[in-house]
Amino acid sequence: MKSLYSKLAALLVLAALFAPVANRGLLQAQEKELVVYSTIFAEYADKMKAEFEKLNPGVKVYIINPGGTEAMIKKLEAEKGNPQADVMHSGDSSNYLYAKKQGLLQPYAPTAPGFKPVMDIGGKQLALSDKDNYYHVFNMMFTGIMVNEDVVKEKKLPLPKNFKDLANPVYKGLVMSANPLKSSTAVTNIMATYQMYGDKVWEIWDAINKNIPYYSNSSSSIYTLVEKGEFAFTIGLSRPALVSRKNGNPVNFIFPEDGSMISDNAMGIVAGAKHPNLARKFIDFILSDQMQLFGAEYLYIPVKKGLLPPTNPASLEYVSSQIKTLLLPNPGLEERARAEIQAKFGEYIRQK
Amino acid sequence: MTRSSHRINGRTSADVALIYGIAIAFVTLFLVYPIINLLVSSAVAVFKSASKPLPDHFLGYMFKVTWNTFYLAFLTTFFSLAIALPLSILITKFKVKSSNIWLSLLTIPLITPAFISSFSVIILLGRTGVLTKALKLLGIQFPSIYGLLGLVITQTLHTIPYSLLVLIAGLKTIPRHIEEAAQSMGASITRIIFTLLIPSLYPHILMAGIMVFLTSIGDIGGPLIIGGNYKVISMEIYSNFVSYLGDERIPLIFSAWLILLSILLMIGVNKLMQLTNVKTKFRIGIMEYDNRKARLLGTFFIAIISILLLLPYVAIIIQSFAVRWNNTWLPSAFTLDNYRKVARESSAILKTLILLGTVTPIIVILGIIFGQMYKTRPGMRWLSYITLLPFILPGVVIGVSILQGYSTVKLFGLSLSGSVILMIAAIAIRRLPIVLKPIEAGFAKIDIGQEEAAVSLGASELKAFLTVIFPQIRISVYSAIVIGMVKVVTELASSLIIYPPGWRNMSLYVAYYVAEGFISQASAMAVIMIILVGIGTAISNNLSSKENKKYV
Repeated sequence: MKSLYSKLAALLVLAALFAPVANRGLLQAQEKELVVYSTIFAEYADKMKAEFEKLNPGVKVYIINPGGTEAMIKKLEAEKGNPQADVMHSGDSSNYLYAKKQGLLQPYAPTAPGFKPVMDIGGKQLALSDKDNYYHVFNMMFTGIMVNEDVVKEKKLPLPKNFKDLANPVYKGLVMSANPLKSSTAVTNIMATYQMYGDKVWEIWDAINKNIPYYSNSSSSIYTLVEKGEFAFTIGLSRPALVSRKNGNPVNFIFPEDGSMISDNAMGIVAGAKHPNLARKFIDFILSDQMQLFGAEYLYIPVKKGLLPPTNPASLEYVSSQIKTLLLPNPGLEERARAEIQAKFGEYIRQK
Repeated sequence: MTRSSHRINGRTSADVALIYGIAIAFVTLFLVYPIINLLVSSAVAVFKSASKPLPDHFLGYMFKVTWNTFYLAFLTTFFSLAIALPLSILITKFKVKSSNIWLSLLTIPLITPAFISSFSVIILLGRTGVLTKALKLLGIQFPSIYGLLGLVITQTLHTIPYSLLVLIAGLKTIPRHIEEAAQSMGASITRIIFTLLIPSLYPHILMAGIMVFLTSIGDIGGPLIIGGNYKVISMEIYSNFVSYLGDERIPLIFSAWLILLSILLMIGVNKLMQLTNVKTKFRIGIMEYDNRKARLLGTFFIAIISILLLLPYVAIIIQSFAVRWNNTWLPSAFTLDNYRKVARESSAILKTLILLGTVTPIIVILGIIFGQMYKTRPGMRWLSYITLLPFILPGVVIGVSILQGYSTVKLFGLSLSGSVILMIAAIAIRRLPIVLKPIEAGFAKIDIGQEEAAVSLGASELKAFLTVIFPQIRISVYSAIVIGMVKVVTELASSLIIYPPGWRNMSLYVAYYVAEGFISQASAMAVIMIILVGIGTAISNNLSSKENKKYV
């Protein structure tokens, strides 16, 4: 008799345990598609679509790339009255802070095993989740300088060690940068110099500006132009440069000794998403070990520690060992610097 | 007979009114309302934060950018016409050998997405470009292409086919008897060309000129990739509109300024058009000259020009087979992988074909309706300022305006913004001016008195149009279809903003690959696009030449 009771109790506990799951399953049965706006590169986008569809049979994932993070936000703003997307994916967290303020996102606390909202990096604390859980970082890159080694050799140029070395007049006309008014990548690099040089930051930029022939409005073409040897350097991010090197191009990435800042890649659920359950599942899926490791194949640095051996070039340990001065993003500082950057670079660009 | 008398008692019959109504409604719904909505909502946002002053020297900057825009447009128009005019005369008048092949080849630039064309110019003429290197061996240092020079080269390349198609369509409508008369009176061919052909071609030259001018003003791809520091209005709007730290007032000010400028421009053009109103009443085929010297010269000239113009596209083909192509004469290794990767995206081809099949008929029919309206009802010509607007407004602005205007609208319970309807509408609105212009040029040469005669004999306006007028503008309509098809396939800026789930077409793929730095894959997709549209244009050209022969 006792055993019957205990069996019943066990059944009840099991049922209680599975009820939410079953309930969720029922809800999800109604959600047959997931729309993700993402500016991540093609192969990663294909992979996340295929894998998520495999894990959720019957679900169709649509990934839409409106052509840059800024265009993605424009699209979300235009659709605010009737959101079409469920997830906003990729682009650094400052974009997500803006989206949060515009009311474009809704909170969700990820349940992916091993994901923590804060990461310890060399004693510094990097926030991976927004304090209200509106967005979460899913991988990282670093700021610095991409260099075309052939052009440097051909022109017998010294290699810059520090970011401020780009101010050297020998580099005149050879340094590329995306337009900071348009590209948050460029702003991330400027914010790094803000942290390095404080009040003196504009002295350095006045000089670097003289070496920059023009600020590219196409944020992505800066890497291609350096790859082709049209320019010797571009101020940019580590991942595209190192992927280009991996593909056999004569390029490399310099982590400046005076400072290299983490550029994070974030994601969040769109406010008013039509498929919120799948969207939550998707956030956890992107933070799963499987997708974190897949990103690492493309040199995205995972946000979960210990996933990769420290010898792996995509591991945080390996990259940190190459960086002399590691800087963390400081959203508060960026908020204050915004107007100044806008005015200063607006002026640089108008005068060119 | 007065202008209005052909409409019975000056009134428009119900069927014609209905057709006009539908056309005007389309433009109102998908252009006028969204743009006004966007301008008003951003103006409200701007005035709310009006306390902040505009950047220093903003006015001076605005004039500099305006001057840049018009100077570039002028240079591009000049070079485009200077090359296309002699070419078109040679092709249509001197039985140039295999001119059909050259002509099809010369439409390639029209089919190629601007992104890829700009990159191909970099491959050839960039600092490490193949031609730059070759010239260096000869001791010539080619100047930097990042700026005005690169823009003029890219835009001229891109617009020559426009000019060529419009001018050839024009030359085909010049009746042979005029030239025969001139020739029988002993006029030399040169004299006939300069005193007869070119003057009769003025409406088409003007039309081609306007199209090229406006294309240059509205171009984004070129300025984005090789514009360097040469700042133009379209780029200022685009880069401040889709921006991170951009001043939200700048795109608004520049948009309003651009709309004002284009209206002024159009008033001037309309005045010019009235001066060049050539009427021909018969269609009896065109005159061709049997002049060995001219034919040889023509064949030589067209071959040289074509080869020069096509070099960047040869570069695209080579790039499409390349593993890598940096700073060397030829790629370091070749592969078929790019095509294999692109072939996996077969749905992109299907989507492109579906859009082609829906948008092209819409814009061609709208083009004919508006063309007829502007021709027969001078009182409605003010509308032409509106139908021309999408030509110069950056496509992103059109995309966002339609998205914003219709994001909450539901049709039969289906949300519009998630459906392909808005994408079709956006592409149609954006490409309407491109087909409207050649159709208008066709109408410009028609004596509307013929329609009036038919109507006074009892035919309805619709019937008179279909039986009397339409056959005369058919050639222009064919060239409009060709240009329209090509421009629908390559539309990018609005599609990028507006495309719904599952509707990524070939041109979106090309942009995507370029943005990712996969230039080889982008080239492979572009090559497939060129082949696809090339087949389409060849069929249309074939149809139109068969049609043409009916009148000979």
